[in-house]
Amino acid sequence: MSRPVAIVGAGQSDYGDFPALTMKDLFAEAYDELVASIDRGYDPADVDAAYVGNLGTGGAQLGLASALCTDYVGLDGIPVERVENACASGGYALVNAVEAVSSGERDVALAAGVEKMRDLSGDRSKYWLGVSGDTEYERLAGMTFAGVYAIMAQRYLAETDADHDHLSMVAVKNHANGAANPHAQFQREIDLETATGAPAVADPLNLYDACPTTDGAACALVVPAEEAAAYTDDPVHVTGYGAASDALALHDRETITSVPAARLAAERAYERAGIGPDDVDVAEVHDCFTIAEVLAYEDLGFAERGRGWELIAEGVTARDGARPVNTSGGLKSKGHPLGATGIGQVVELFEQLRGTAGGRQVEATTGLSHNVGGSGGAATVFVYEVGS
Amino acid sequence: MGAHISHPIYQQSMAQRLALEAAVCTDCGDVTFPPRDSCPSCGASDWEPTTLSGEGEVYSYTVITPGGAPPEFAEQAKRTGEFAVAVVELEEGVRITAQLTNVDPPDVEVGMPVSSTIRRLYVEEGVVRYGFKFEPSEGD
Amino acid sequence: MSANTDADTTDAGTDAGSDVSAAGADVVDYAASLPPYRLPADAYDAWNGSRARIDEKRVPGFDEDVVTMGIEAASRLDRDGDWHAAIETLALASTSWPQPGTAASGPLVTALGLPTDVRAIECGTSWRAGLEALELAVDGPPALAVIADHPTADPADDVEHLLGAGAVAVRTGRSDEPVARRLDSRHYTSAHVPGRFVDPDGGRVVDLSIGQYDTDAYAEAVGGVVEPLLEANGYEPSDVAHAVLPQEDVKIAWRAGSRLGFDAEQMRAGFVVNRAGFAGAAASPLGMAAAFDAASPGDLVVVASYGHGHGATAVLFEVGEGVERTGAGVSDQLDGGHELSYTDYLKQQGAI
Repeated sequence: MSRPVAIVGAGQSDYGDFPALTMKDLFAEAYDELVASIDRGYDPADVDAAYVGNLGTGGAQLGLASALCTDYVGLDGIPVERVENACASGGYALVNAVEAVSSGERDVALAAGVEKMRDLSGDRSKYWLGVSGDTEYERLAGMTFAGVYAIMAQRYLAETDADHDHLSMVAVKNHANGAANPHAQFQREIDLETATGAPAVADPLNLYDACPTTDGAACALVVPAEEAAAYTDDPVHVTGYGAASDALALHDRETITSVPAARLAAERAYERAGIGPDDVDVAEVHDCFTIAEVLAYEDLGFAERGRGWELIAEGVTARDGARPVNTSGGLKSKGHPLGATGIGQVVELFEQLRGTAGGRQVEATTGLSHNVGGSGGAATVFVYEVGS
Repeated sequence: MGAHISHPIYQQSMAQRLALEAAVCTDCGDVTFPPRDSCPSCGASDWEPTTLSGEGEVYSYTVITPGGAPPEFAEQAKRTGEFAVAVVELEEGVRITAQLTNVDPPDVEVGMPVSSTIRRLYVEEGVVRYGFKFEPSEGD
Repeated sequence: MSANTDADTTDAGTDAGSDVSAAGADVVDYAASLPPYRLPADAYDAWNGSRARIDEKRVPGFDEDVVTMGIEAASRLDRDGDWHAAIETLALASTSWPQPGTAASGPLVTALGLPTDVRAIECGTSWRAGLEALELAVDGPPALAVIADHPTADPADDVEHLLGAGAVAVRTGRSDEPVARRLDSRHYTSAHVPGRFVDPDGGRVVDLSIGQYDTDAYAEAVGGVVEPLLEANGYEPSDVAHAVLPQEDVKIAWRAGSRLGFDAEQMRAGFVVNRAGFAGAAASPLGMAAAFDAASPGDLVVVASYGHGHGATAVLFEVGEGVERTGAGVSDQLDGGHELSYTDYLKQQGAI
């Protein structure tokens, strides 16, 4: 990066099921929260670019969703772009914002994401959920999005000593965290029996291994680190990031018990940040399915290949563990509005690193976000630090 | 309407769907299925068609519950219940995703030997789409 | 690609048998594919018992149709030798095409690797179509006949109890050690008010059940080909090792066989309807495959088919040495399969 960047504000809407709210409404709610989070306030006229992550679920606004949102909140005339990399759209919106500011091209960039998912009929919802895999061979084999992760889980369970209970433990942990998050879609704890006994969705995954569909939006403001003081005494520095891609179809990948794009993105992020996995105090990872969180532990280097399940078994990643993961409740409990998720992760880490996470607070000076598109066709990893 | 493969695009894959035609790189000999412009192993763009045997084993699989089936398979799922989908590793070394047929989903296991068979995949705008599925291999 | 016209039969009754055999129209390989699901007769207890007089029948899965079954059967032919590229005629037969108005031979040619300049002929208005296709393949080798059928009917109708599905593939060519050599064929066709037909609206078989009328029609047509076929070639019914008669009605078929002079031993091997159900145009070809499976070199096999409206064809084969090196495994296939409950069957067929 040619000049260091920092995040000086981050806000999100509630995540959940809001039939009466449109994409614009959700975006405005997130934007208002963002504005409120900027300690010294800011002038919207300073924003000189916006990147809005959005898959376009439902097809209500496939073209120009970005301008639809930014115009709605009064960001007039700025260059805008809809960023689409499936569930990694938010992460990639942040990549765009960080690179725009870091390169010197832009001085104040808005990284945002929004998704409206809950207003679709059952059939339409299934269509839209299946758009990020390999359409020709995965979808036309009858594969669902859950099916793809189920295939990864099946192989992982066959190759390692993990069993399904370990996957369910991820759901239990994330629900416990979500219960303390006023923005979360589900704010109730669940027990292991409920999680393991839920109806099958795609063997071996059941209903409680899967994240919900969610309406929501999130925004973050990126500025040069040297300008951060104008906004706050407590900026969150983006000290490293990585972005990567891979084949869409599982059958085209080297391995299906790791997400190579996430692994690569993490390597790049750690290198840029000059840190290693052990330096990470808190992380928001992409648990679209419980197996995804277990694989994330391994891809991020928190555990060796094949041993990620041990971390959840031993409580290492619980809120009171050595390395808390998904204090927000993760995608499972907080929710997964596809285009917004990557930025929602920023909101959680912004709060955690600045000490404003309330009942979810953990001790952390270095945070990490991990955002994956589809089953791993694209991924981003960011490293955030305070006090440097 | 979401993810959708048009008729012309489906036609382009007919040699793969009905005859398991793959590509063998004339430079390094690696097999790619479905064929691509350049060899994923060595990058060369010279290849010959080759027909796969259809023999392989289940590399991994899942069982899709009727309620969750994609709309193209909703009718099938409604009529015949849950179905298995697998990533199959073929004996030539390539992997491909396909539905399993002629098998009770609870009987599917990682490592199970399977053979390709041509079946109806689904009906798109009134037109039957045929393609390969895999069924448990007979004997040996 | 030449049709074999020189040694063909002229009138019925002349001794044309030896001329036809000299044309060398041999069956060099054959295969069969029975669908995977078995429905036992007691499934029909839901209708106060099966009217079909069979033990069980075979029915296809939701993802199968005559195209996929035909590909399956042809894929079971021996793959040795580069014969696919040399096939000159592809003769298909069915009465239940999945996509009327389109060439079912299209997917078959691509799936089987047949040359795109093959002469593709698709037969199928009556249940005689199977032998019509077989005749084409035998007349013009090297050829492939693929016969696949799945007649269906309203679940509330008695005729439905009998209806099954299946596919047969027969490869013809010239060989010193054929599976079988066609010695002669006889045909009979005449206007006749049909007692069974397929309703064009739903594609379902309708059985008017006209009793003796149906029996007489069968006897007239089938007798009208089998008897002259044997006589013209100097054979008695007792010379025949295996007789495969049209099996769309078990009682009628056995009675006709007996009146034609065949005993249970002669009819047993080919009587597949008892465990496979009646597979329409593929029925007699399936019986033929089962008969070849049981036959020895030198055996005579008679195969006959009947089409309502009406007509019949009977073919006389002499089994060759080739029968020892190949087989369709009909018996093994009949022993396999997965049993289906009646409700699952109805759901699969789209009846409920």
